Amino acid sequence: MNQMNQKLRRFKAFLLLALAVALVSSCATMSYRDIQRDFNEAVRADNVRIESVDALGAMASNSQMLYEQVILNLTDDFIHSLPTELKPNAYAIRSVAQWRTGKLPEARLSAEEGLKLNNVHESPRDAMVLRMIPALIIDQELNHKFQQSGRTISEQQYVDGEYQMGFLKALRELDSAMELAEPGTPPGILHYLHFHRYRMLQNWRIVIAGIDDFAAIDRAHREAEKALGDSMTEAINSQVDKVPAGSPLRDLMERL
Amino acid sequence: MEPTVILFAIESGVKLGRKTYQVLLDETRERPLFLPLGDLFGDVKEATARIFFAREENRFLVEEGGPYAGLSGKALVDAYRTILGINEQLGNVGSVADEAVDTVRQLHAFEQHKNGYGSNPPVQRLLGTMVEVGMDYFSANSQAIGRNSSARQLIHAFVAGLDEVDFAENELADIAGEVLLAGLKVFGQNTSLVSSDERIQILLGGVTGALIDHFASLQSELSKIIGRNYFQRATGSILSGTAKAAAENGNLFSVGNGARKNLVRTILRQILTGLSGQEDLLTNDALETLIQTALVTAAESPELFSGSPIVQDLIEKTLETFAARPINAILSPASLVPLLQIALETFKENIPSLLDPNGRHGQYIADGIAAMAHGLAMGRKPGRLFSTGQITDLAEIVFNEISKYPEKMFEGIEGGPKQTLLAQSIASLMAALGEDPFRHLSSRGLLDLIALVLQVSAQNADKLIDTRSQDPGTNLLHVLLRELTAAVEDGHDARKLFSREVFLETARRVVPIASSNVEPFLNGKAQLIYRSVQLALHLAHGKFQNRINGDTLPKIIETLLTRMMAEEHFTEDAKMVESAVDMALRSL
Repeated sequence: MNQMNQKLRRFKAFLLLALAVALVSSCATMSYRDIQRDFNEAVRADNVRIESVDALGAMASNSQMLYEQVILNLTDDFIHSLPTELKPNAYAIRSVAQWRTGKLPEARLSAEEGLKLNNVHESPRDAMVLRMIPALIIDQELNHKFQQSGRTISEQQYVDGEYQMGFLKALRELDSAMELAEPGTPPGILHYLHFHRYRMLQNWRIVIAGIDDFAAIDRAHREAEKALGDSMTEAINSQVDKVPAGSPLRDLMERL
Repeated sequence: MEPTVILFAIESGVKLGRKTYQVLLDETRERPLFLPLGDLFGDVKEATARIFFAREENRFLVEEGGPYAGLSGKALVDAYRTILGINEQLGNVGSVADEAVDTVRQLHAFEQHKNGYGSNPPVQRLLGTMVEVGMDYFSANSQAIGRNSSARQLIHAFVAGLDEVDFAENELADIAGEVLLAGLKVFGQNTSLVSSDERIQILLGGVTGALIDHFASLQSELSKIIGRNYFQRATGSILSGTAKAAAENGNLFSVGNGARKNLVRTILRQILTGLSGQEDLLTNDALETLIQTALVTAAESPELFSGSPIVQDLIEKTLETFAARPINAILSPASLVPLLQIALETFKENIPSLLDPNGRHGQYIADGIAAMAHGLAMGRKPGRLFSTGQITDLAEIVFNEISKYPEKMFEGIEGGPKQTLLAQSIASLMAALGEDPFRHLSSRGLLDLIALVLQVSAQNADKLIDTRSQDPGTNLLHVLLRELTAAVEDGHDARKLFSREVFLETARRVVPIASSNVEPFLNGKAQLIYRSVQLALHLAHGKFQNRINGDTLPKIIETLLTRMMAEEHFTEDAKMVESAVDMALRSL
């Protein structure tokens, strides 16, 4: 009888524990869906920030606020409380929000944490995003440096700033990300990767063109093509070609 | 999609059952995400131009002494463009940014899985949204989760009614979620408005479909944001209006008829499109009323309303009218829906006679509103004449006349609503009454007199109204009415016999007589009304002062006018006049 009671107590305890775990997970999932929603709103506002209309101009600062909110909500503790299935997504969202708000070391750490998860391959889009983060961070660091120089640099600054090395490293990181592609990877995320490769090549050209001497521009450009092993124009065009006609990303690349 | 699966998921989610909770988890993990495009460090075209000019073979162009020396920025891009002669390839620098913005707007969220690898994304994301909404609702309303509860029935019907809705985009699933949530709030505790499961299906499916159709048609990011906010504010009213329409007219939701099934969706979409950009004009209650009226009207003739944008045209054209000066100062926005209601109801009752030969039936009946409004506004100083209730009464009068004499009332429409017989008739009266019509008439009296002049005009249109002109002063009707008001204003009336009621009664007697026999007025003898009023007043203050009062005065004026029209020299013989008045008074 005693044994029976003990078993029953154990079963009840187990049941309560299971319910408690389920309750916590359920609440966290519902909250997490709100965070996803905020994140999507932030990106939408971020992506239209070139718009000049006042009302949408306001959305640009709104995007930063929403990204910050996402980061604030996605604490380590919160992510740990999430069901395992959602963790890769949570790290991906947090690292992107950190990238876009200039918290670059934190973005790198989030991406690393996400990629360490055993189930990251079950979320192929998120895995790809996490793997792209290092490249996006390098690009952002170079941008920061270039903008601080007033977008005009000397040949020496170009060399000392290690722009070439930086862009090559970022492109290599994207190549590595591409290797993660598997049969279940959605083509859209691969197009997104090609877009960023295209963007980084364009950024590289912009930096080279920002050198204050035409002869030095020519030298830097030739050097860049040598390092790439390809004409820069060809490299850019090949990224455009990898995105199917009719895709908004391709349209965007063709218009810029 | 199987409704029972969703209900089961919701219930299980609430009960924290792990297996079905997985449904929500999967959807959350696979939820499409937007991703940032990142930054460009500068202008791509400028970089292209600088790199081009930096090439050894081109450098002379920008070096000292070269044609483009010292150029930078856009000037250098222009130089580059000139050199290459590829304007078309580069495109216009100014417009590219705009086009790029459009392209960015078209970017979709990125899916977690390739097609065929995850679950069907549109279904999955809808599933997640429904479960989310259901869980939210039942968590707060645990009593509603009973096996045969209204809320349960509602969700079941809702999901089953979404078969024909396209959820290609994530945001659209969110809209469906909002409709469900609004539905639960509106009907969750009480589905008596719509008692049949299939009716709820049509109702909720129709509303969801309409909202989604409308949202998908919005182009700019800003309009989408405004649209979402509007849906959040108005979805409950849209559902209530639809449900009330269903309660009022069972035909609306007759099951098994394809045309009727689509009717709810079509009409709601027309209303949303018609109001697009001006949604704030209507309160939620007004929107509810408009929806109810439009659906009930459409249910009377579903094929006609499904096949033609009647409701949309009517709303758009009427909004144009309301925005036009000086009408915007005369009609308050609150009168918009009552006017549309009356227009729709009149149309419903008189469909055969009110069909536009050109097929734009909505515009046709909207012309009635426009003509009425222009008639009131023409030549007047801006200012409210009528309360919303009085405008409604006036509209009833006007549409009643339109339904009786549609061709007559719209005579002159080729010159615009201002030139129609309808507008010119009202304008003739208003111009005759002057800036303050209520000096002569009560509000109700003015409405009655408008009805009278419309009837009179319809009977003798070509003589009384000149539909080739927008100036009411050119209408004989105006001349007649002006004589009456001028006589009252100029006349000696120490006894104050001409009250508003007496004026109205006089007009009622005089106008039909004069307008049925216009010959004396056409021949320059148009002072007959003026003179008959003046003479009657003279007698009422003289020889007949003890026999003529306000009650009998209109009859005396009528008598005098009739005699003056018949006998040119009637007034020259005082005895004959007195005798005629005496006889008239005796006959009363």
